[in-house]
Amino acid sequence: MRKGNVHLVSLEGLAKIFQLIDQVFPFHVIINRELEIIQLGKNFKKIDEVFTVGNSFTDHFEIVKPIIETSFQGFSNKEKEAFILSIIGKDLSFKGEVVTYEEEGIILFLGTPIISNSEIFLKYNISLSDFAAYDSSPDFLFSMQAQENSYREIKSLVKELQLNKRRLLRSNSSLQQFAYVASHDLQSPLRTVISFAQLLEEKYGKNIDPIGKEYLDFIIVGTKRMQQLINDLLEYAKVEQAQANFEIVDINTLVEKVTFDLQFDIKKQNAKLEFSKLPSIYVNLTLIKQLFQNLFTNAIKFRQLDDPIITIDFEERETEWQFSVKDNGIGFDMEDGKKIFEIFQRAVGLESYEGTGIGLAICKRVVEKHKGKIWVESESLKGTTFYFTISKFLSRSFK
Amino acid sequence: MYGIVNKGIRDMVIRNHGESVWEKIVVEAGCQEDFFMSMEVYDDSITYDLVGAASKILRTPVHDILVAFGEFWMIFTATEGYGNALQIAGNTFPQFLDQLDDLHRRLGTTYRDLIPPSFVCEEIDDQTLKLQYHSHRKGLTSLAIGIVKGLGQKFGMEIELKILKKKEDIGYDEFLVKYTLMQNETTKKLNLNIKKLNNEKGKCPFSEFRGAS
Repeated sequence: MRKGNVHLVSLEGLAKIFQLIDQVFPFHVIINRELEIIQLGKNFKKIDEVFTVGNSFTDHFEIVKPIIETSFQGFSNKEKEAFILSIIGKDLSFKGEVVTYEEEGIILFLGTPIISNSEIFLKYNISLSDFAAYDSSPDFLFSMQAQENSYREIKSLVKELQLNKRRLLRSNSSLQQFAYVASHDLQSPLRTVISFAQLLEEKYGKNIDPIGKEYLDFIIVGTKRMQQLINDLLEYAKVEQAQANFEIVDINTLVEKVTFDLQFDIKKQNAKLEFSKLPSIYVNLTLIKQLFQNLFTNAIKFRQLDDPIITIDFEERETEWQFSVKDNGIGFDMEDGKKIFEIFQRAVGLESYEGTGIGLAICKRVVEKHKGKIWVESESLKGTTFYFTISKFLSRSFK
Repeated sequence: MYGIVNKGIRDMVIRNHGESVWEKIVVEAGCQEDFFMSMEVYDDSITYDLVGAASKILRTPVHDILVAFGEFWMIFTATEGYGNALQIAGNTFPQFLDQLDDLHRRLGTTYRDLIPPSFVCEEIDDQTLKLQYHSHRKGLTSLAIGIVKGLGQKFGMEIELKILKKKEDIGYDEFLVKYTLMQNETTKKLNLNIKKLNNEKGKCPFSEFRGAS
């Protein structure tokens, strides 16, 4: 019996225990007081034919951990500790624990191979069936492989994403350049068409019949509209190409400047601007000025019979500023709420008003360049409120 | 089902028919995305939809698609990094088949949501066995046939398979499986194919995402 127990096990009983151990622990070693192997798990023979009952434990094994004297007493003193045994001359180790039966002079090592890769298994002819069902060592191998696969997948995905990001940046940059160059270069021939159409009307207008005049008017109106579209596209391209240039801007002063720039329209439409003290924030002055200007212009343009009233408000939040620009205009159906921020898109029912549908697309890009978002709440005939946020954490460059 | 299954279908289609066909299948199946993470669980319906769509686009019966996928599965999992792990699962065709349940049980500690099928073998003689295939899922008998055939190929075995009983009648499928050693030329050809697949994997680090050409 083990330490502290009184009875000894009969030889017959011992044989049964050995038999049981043989069935349950396929990688066990039983040695006697003289360190002779008296029983070996069946898998040791598969690993190497040299494993033989009767040989000394030290002929085949080396104790890696714990550091003990290789003796019965040495084993006995370290019961319950994790043991690591390596097979002499082979790159195969076992982990397990030791049980000593002092009275009977028996030491049991109950362990399992340490698995670091499957090559070891193939090398030593061990397969899954050689492990006891309760032994989770091979599971670790699958776990490791799954982890490696996931890592590989994520790494490839990141590479793919980086590649796509670079492609997108390149294509975006080319598109911006194209929009800028195209809109810039288109101005000149367009001006020529308009000028000569107007000259034609002035000089030869009397000789042109009413239908011809109507056609000429179509040409002039169409080309002017095209000029407006190109101008707006150019503005949009400028926003895209704008550098960060962030600075502290007093929004009160900025709103006053915008009001001054729009004074003609404001006076003509008898519009009123209402706002309490607005904050000073870190932004790109030119872009934010354009943002307010576009929103005010919209509020004045889409007025009802009542005088336009524009209310500006803000809210400070932990990471951002939230502004709102509210009007009492004609409003629109909220189904168009997202569409209106797309380039050349306009809300249904507002097509008859002047404009190209680029102003709000510019607002969206300006806000995005300030790491914010823009949205709208509107109700037909009740007015519209535009909300936008500006991040408090802007880096020195647009990303 | 785990993403590795859908990934396998994708890989098989791209290898055999090209990326454009796979894109058509994805559209036909109504899949929102065609990228699958191996370790993530996806709804079974995605896999069924992909197989159904593949059958329609490739004008091939679902049975044939599933058999082909089952055969491909052994090669695919090996090239996906499970080759060595699969090698320790058994040294012979009958041994591997007999240990499939144990293999799945052990994989279950990593793939926690795994609902694997069960394969129960009964040896008839040294070239014949009776195999029961139990699955919680419907309509995958053909996949099991493919897997057994693929497993046979892995061990260089010619497989003859006969359905003895059907799931509809007894709750599981029962097959009689005869396995004989392949002729040398066939084995050589198969080994060459596996080697080729492995080389392709090695050359293209993004093959899981863009598919090997």
